[in-house]
Amino acid sequence: MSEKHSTLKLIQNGLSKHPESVLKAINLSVWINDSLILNDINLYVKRNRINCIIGPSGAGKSTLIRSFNRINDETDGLRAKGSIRFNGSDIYDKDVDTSWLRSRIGMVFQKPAVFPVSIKANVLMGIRHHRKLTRLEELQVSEKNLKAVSLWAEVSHRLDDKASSLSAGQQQRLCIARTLAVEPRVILLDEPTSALDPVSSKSIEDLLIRMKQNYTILFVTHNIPQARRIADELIFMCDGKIIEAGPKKQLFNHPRKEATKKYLGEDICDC
Amino acid sequence: MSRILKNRLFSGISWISLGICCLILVFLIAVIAWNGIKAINFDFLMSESRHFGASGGIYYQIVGSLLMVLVAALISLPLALGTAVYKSEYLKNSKLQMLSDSLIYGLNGIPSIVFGLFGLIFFVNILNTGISWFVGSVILAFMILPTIVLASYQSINSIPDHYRESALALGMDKWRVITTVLLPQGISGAVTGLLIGLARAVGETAPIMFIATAYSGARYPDSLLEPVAALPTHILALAQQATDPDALQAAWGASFVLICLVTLFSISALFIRKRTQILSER
Amino acid sequence: MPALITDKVGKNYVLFSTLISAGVIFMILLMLLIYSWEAITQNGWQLFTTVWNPPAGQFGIASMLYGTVAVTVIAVALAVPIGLMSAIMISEILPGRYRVMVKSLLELLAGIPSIIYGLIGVAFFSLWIGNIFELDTGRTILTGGILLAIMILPIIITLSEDAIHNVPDIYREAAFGLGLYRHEVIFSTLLPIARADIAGAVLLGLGRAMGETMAVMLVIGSIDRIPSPVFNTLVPGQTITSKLGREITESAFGSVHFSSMIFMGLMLLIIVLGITLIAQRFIKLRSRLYE
Repeated sequence: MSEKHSTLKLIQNGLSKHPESVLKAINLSVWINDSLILNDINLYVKRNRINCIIGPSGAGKSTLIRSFNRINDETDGLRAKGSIRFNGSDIYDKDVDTSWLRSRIGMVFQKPAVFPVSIKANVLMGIRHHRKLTRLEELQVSEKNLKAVSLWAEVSHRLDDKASSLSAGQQQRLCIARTLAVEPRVILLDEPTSALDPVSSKSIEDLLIRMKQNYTILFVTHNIPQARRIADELIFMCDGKIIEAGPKKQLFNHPRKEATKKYLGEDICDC
Repeated sequence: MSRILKNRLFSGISWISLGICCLILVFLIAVIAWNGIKAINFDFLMSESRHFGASGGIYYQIVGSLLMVLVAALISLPLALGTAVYKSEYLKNSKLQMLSDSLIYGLNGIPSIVFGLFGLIFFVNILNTGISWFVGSVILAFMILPTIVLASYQSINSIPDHYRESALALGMDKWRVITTVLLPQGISGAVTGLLIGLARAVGETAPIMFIATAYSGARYPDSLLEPVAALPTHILALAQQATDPDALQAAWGASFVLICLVTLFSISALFIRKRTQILSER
Repeated sequence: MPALITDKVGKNYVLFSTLISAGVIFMILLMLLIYSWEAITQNGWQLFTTVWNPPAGQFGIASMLYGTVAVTVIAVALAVPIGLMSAIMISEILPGRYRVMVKSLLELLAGIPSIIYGLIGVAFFSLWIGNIFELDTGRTILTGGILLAIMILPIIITLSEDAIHNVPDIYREAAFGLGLYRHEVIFSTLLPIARADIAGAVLLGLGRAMGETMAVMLVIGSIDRIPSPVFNTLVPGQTITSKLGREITESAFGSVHFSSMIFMGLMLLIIVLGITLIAQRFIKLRSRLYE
């Protein structure tokens, strides 16, 4: 595994042709049981930005974001063609260790799935499998990451309580904290606020804006106002294809495609 | 140990476990089929057993087993349907619901030999029926009761409330609603449960071996209070003389026939369940 | 018939069937209690000694209790690890299309009547055990335990597979998303979540093994004694069920002998009922019972 690390570092240090792009999909097509879900996707994910994939439901947004850390591998009947490059090397290479990949590219899902253990144990769930922690480190890691998601003040006095005792919004922030604890470079978020109330959503949005200094963020939403609030880069998807991608301002103010204008303006998609 | 190695080890152990299970399965099926088919012919199926089963056939054993389970079905079905309807339509107190659940699961969990003891005490001795196939049927009926109750309860209870409400709104009284709206649906669940219960009942030995069967000489019973021959107890008798190759051969033959009966009941259950599922999806 | 009367008759019919169905279990308990009363009053604590000698009026059931516990422990110790790993394999590793096939095969296995397991035990297992360990007879406590393990494997696999499979996918994805390997996902997230249902599955298997009669009776050797040392299971033994199966018809109805046998039945019933009801608290086996 250490060899792989060093090769990737080498690539990271100079060989990469798109220094501003950490992650890119090249000619990616995905089928589930012979129906085409993603059709020839080419996408650059910009470093230290909030890259926001937007589009109507059924556009393939989730399938796309789930391809980036190969969590799709678990889906029955799924087949992919093309490649995804992370710091220059193909993540679909057969000797890529998915565990290592997913520790570099973390993911937060639509529904907060807290494990039925304590709050602290939830934060440590990922990291403690990747490396041995002492008692002290455990506390340090918990504190650091809970602070990073602004949950520390609310839970510091009850780290050993069941995580399920938290509210939905707190649970989702806990899920982000445990993803951060693994120290990824990229964080994928698949509609992380769609199951939450407006106040909790707002706090997660603020959190993402703060996080982009240290992480590259790829974010899926079908909520246009949310995209307008937090996105830097916008990728508009429809029917398994990327219709238009570019900086947020450009897509909102001067879209090149009629479909983009119609979707962002009226929330109607007719592609 | 590195994590990758552990993961490999884990996969290995999982494969081995499933492999062991498959091996057992293949062994059991092969042994029963191979030895059974060798032992079976028309004569074996259609003639009376002789020399305590070591020669001759198993005709009366098949007859006795079928008679007992079919009568058990006749006893059990109306009881179970009534119980299921009561539980679904009349029993609204949640404490009583829980109690009834516990009683049903409890009845289902009673070891089969205890049913035999109960039959021996209550019917054979207290009611003084003597060894009787009908008592065997009654006991088997009690054994399969929970399965049928739960199956029919589920299918009755899964009927959406608006069917009941609209039938009541048409001016039907409760019993009319039950017989015209709920029972037709409940019956298919009950029959599925019944067939699964029969698949189990036909192979049961412990509950009937003291109270309902004779090991030799029984033919068609003339009354309710006579013993019959039955397949499982016949296999038991033969297995106890397993050192005699003829007896063992006959035991395999009888086992094969018994498995066929069990499978017949199970597959019919599966078929009915499939069919009703398709119907209810329309 | 006027509608009002059929309504009433109907209601009475369903009430009456419910009372009968519910009454059976009490009736069974009551009968066993009444007919074991004589043994309890006559023998008292003597019932729990090791000597069973009807002509001498000695009715100690300790050997049978030992045998029952021993075969059950062996069965569970063998069946739980293999069954649980197989369940994990079926639910988490095997592609979905094989899952249904494997599960229907398991149901086939579960449908084999216990007397046929007994026959296979007599014809094969006891001979193998005899040869492997070079014993005078292969009809031993271990043989009974192994046979029981095979018999309860399907129920343990089926129920614990259901339990694991029913854990929502969001937990799997969350755990994989943190970079956990498959075994880590299973052992540190899925199994803890499915814990209660798996415990229920194991308990049900345990109850099944304890109450099983025919297979055990044919292979255990039927000698009433506790081996020395106690964990030497390569000798013939006796369980409650095998004792009942062998000897109940030899005892006269109403005798102390008969009553002591019924007392054993009562003990068995209470233990197995207890286990079943605890298991039921752990899992909702409602839908499984008739599948």
